[in-house]
Amino acid sequence: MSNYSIWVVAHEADAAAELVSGALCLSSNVNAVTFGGEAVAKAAQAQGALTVLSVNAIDTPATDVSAMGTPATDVSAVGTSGPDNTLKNCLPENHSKALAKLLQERNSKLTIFSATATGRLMAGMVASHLGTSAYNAASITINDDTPVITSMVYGGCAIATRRLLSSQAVITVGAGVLGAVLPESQEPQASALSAALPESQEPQASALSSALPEAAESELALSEPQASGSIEQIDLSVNDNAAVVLEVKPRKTESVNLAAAKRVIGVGRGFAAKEDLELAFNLASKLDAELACSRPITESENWMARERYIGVSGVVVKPELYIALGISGQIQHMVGVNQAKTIIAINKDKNAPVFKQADYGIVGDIYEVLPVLTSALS
Amino acid sequence: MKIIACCKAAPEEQDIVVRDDGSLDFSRADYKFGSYDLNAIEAARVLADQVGGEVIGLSVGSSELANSKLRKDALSRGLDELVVVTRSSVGEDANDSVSDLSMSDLSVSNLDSYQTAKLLADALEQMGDYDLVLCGAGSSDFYAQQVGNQLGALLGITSLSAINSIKPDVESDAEISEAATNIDSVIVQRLLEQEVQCVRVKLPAVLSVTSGINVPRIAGMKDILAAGKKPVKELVALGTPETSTQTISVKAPPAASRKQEIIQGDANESVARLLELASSVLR
Ligand SMILES: Cc1cc2nc3c(=O)[nH]c(=O)nc-3n(C[C@H](O)[C@H](O)[C@H](O)COP(=O)(O)OP(=O)(O)OC[C@H]3O[C@@H](n4cnc5c(N)ncnc54)[C@H](O)[C@@H]3O)c2cc1C
Repeated sequence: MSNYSIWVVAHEADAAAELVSGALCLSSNVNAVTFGGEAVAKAAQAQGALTVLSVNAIDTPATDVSAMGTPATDVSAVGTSGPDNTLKNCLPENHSKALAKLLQERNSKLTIFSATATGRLMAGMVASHLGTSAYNAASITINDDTPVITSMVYGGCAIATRRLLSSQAVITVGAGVLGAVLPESQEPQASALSAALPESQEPQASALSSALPEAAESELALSEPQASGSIEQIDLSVNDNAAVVLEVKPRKTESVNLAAAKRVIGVGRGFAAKEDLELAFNLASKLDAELACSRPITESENWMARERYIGVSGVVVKPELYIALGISGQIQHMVGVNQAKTIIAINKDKNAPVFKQADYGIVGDIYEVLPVLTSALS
Repeated sequence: MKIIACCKAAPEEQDIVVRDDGSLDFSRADYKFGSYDLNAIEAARVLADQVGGEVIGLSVGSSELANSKLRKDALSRGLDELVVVTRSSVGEDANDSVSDLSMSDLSVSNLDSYQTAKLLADALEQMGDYDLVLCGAGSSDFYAQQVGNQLGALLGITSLSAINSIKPDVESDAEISEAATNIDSVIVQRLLEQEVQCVRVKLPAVLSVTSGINVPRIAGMKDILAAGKKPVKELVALGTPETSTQTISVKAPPAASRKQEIIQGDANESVARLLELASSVLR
């Protein structure tokens, strides 16, 4: 096992646990910088990080709210505590400059962030301060002390394999990428991406059941097999012109497990209104299928939770049957379903690209075909 | 208010042909601006129309940016002006070092996100003062989603991603018309995985918008005609930093072959035929 110096940066306990345990498949020299208080630091330590630097929460400095006029939204949430007594109005990303300096001092050869919006933003800013690029890795190995990563490119039509030349490389990884083999039923979206890679490029496997989301909080305290590393509290200064969080609202999320579904029905912009999705619901209940969608249905229309959109930037599924309803079949979407055993498409445009990638297709209006199909299945 | 909208031209991904050996053939793929960059242009236009100001498109690339149709396309979507930054020549300014020499020139001319951000930052310096720089959710070719993040850090100004709405930070609409060019902060909504943040951002700043922030306008005949008369400035990049990666390969994964049994006709007949053909999977 290499002794290559890796640092992971995390601001949530689950991510800290998964990144540390996953990085330990790459090197024995794994350390962590954590934001968000003791729980996050402990999660990293419990998984075997040698050194954990826990960043003390700071209030965002000197922005006089009243002097700036009443903002468009309620400011009552300013400065309130988060779940673990962290100040919520200072974003972890506001520390990026000091964080980059710290990683440089500690000689991190590879710094790993989770591929969330916050993780990616921090990674990009830190990378700039280190004079390199931040990459999202669908898989990673270390060859001769050089990280080799793969990423989907050109909308998912190809996989690029790249060697990171920087002596201080920066990457982000989605859940499940770092060598974790999770039980099928819990397989997070991103792991399907790495599974799509040719065998030889797959990251080393290792079982990491403790990195599972539910297990992380309750069981970590009990099972601390190698929690020998130290936790140090540190202060990191805040960037100039730091953004000020005025309010945080929880977002409605859904826990769907599309990856485990045997049949998946995807809806696209061919549906004219949210109510019309009922046509798809009815078919789904007949076929005992999970409902999914194209990205615009989530992002532009907001008709379905983001956990349900399929594609290069969403979920990758491998069901026995995928039915595309009113989906044009752009590469970015189809890469998420092209491992389905059978694909059926219904689209009114006979030239829609989806038909080239379908086993069976009906050229027709979903509003006419779906009621007939659903009742024919009784 | 002077707003810069960054955009990248990339080969139309639907027209990239995968060869039998998994390599990519770009010969039929024309360059076009990424669909998510259009969200940045649209957001810039909407804000500029609201508070008064101009929108300047900024694109870093190679010879593809010489194409006047491509330029007009960007200009017809709401830009007042376009600035294109090209590197002196691909040969002397070699970038992505490619081990597999059979790979197309295209990958040789590709910049990584740090290089792109650096060239954008240099260009912004040459362009003078600006209030806000907008980027899209990610380019349509590599989708690293990092140029905006990296750019803000290089400029030493606030950099935020996942921006789902941008509003001028003023008390009332009346104030907007008074303030006109004098908006010094914006209130943005950030759509994160688990939460929605409302954040006050002091300007200048770099914001990367989501693909759901708006629906980009479709240019009409008038817009396209007007676009031909809008100014395009050309800047030559001062110098490109070294690449941070070596590309080993770019290859399509093997694709499953599909039966492609396509049924046309009246709904009842089509469904009956589908049930015949696909009965085993629909039971
Ligand atoms: C960097 C990047 C990443 C992306 N990632 C993803 C991703 O992960 N997942 C994803 O899905 N997309 C992604 N996209 C977007 C993608 O390119 C397409 O825009 C999107 O998939 C199109 O969604 P759609 O098929 O629902 O809509 P459209 O392309 O608008 O297609 C609608 C289809 O419905 C048909 N139709 C209309 N009315 C009817 C009717 N009454 N009956 C039958 N058919 C009808 C039309 O003929 C058309 O084919 C990404 C784009 C970019 C640039």
